[in-house]
Amino acid sequence: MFTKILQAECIKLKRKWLWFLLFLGPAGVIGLTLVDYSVRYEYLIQQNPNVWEGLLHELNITLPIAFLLGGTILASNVAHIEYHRSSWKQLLSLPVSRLSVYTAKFVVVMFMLLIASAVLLIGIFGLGWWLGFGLPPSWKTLFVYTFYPFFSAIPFVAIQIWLSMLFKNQSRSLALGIVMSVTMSGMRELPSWFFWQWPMLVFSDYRNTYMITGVIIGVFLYAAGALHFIKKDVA
Amino acid sequence: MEIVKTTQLIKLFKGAEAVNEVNLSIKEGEIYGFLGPNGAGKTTTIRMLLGLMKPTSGEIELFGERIKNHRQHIQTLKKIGSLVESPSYYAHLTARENLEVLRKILGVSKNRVDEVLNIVKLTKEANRPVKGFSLGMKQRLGIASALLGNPRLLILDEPTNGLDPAGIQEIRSLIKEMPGKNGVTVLISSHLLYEIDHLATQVGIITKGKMLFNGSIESLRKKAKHQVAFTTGEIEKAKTILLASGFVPTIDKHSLLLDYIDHEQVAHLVYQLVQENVSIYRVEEKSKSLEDIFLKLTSEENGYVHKNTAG
Repeated sequence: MFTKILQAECIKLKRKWLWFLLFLGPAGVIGLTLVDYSVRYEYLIQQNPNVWEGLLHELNITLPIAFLLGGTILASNVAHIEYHRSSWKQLLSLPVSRLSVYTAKFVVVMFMLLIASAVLLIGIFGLGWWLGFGLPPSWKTLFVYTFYPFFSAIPFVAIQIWLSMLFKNQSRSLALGIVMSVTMSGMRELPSWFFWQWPMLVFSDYRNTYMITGVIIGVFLYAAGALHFIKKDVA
Repeated sequence: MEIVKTTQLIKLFKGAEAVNEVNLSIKEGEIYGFLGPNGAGKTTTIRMLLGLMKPTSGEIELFGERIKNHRQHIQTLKKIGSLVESPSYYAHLTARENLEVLRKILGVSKNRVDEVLNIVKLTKEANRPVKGFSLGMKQRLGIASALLGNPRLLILDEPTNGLDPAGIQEIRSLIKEMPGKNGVTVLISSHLLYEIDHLATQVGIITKGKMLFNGSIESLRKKAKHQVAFTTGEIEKAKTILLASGFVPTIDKHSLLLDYIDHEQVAHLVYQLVQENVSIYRVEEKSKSLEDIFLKLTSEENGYVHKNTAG
């Protein structure tokens, strides 16, 4: 049953520009970093003898913002598809459980973000090569820095999906998502439990803790959102 | 067998009763017209039948089974096709793709998509994005969606809302064919009686969340029978004379109303009244249309005094 709902979700996303976003986001991150390097190449090279680590540090300025903005837009869109022409009532009066509908939306968003992360990984690899850094010294580090935001952003995305599914007016969820993704990168003084900033903390010593806690809290928030969605009256 | 049965169904919205002790009973093969003004509670009742809303209290039985939980409700939804209020569709997808989304979930064969497109005469437009469709076409697509899963119960909420007369006629003839073909039971709601007159076999009238009438359209029609009004100068005296002749009139301002009587009886009563020197100003026939009865039933509940309109 769940796979059928998932397939139905994929048909709904046909000819949507969201797929384009999965390439636009990483392209933006890579593009900005490329500009950064072409403007002050000499300075940046001197900052860190390990050029690859320096590059990943620079990427960390734009990557989390782009990732979270992307998550915000995707979450809002999968909900908006149903709100746009009042399709919730049609979808939920089919023989489907609400849990599987909510889960399908969640899986679609997470899967798209995963694709974006993979595209980004290729982009970073290409950028390093273009800048003449050669092959990355450690594949593991590259993987960690690319997919770390994905896992630690699950709570963020879960909240976005929850809000987007709950309110017809998507400006609420979009406003929260945009404000949080743009401001968090500059606020490292916030308490550590504040999960909105976790995707930015890739260079902290506790990144593994944030990643694992991200998954746990994310699943918890997904469950809370799903529970709320199941109980909700569809107007 | 009763396909739909509700017992003392109540839904409260912020303490106000949107649906108040509604008892529906729809038998297999019937076309049930669910009537009431806008905001009477029709859509709320239908949403509860479809599991979109939870009743505050009361019971729902579908296909003879009492609905106890959501999981069980989902099982019965396999046998229900629905169209609730404004058309639901994915604007950027074509008609065929819209049906394909539903087909995946319903698990019916691909042929069925062509079949339902053919039934609602959208085969030619099947590969156009739905955002370019007229309202009538969107509503036909909605009916195609409702039919897709070969339902045994079809729930149509205001399917003709906003359509032009030709569109209404089309939808009506579509619905009329349903029960004859494969014994589908239809629940159709409307705020206009004439839309479901000649269509529905049973009627339920609801206002302000309360059921006012539930029965066959014939029994509703009986309420619509003609009356004869005698307008006289001495209403009390005339009433006594009519009573003495074995007729029980009702008083409406300056007239005495009698249920329909034939020519001979009218002549007899006029003779009697004239004999007793009662001046008769006018004798006229008053007819109440179904619409009048519907208006009367629903407006009384709203606290208006409804006047009989002369026919």
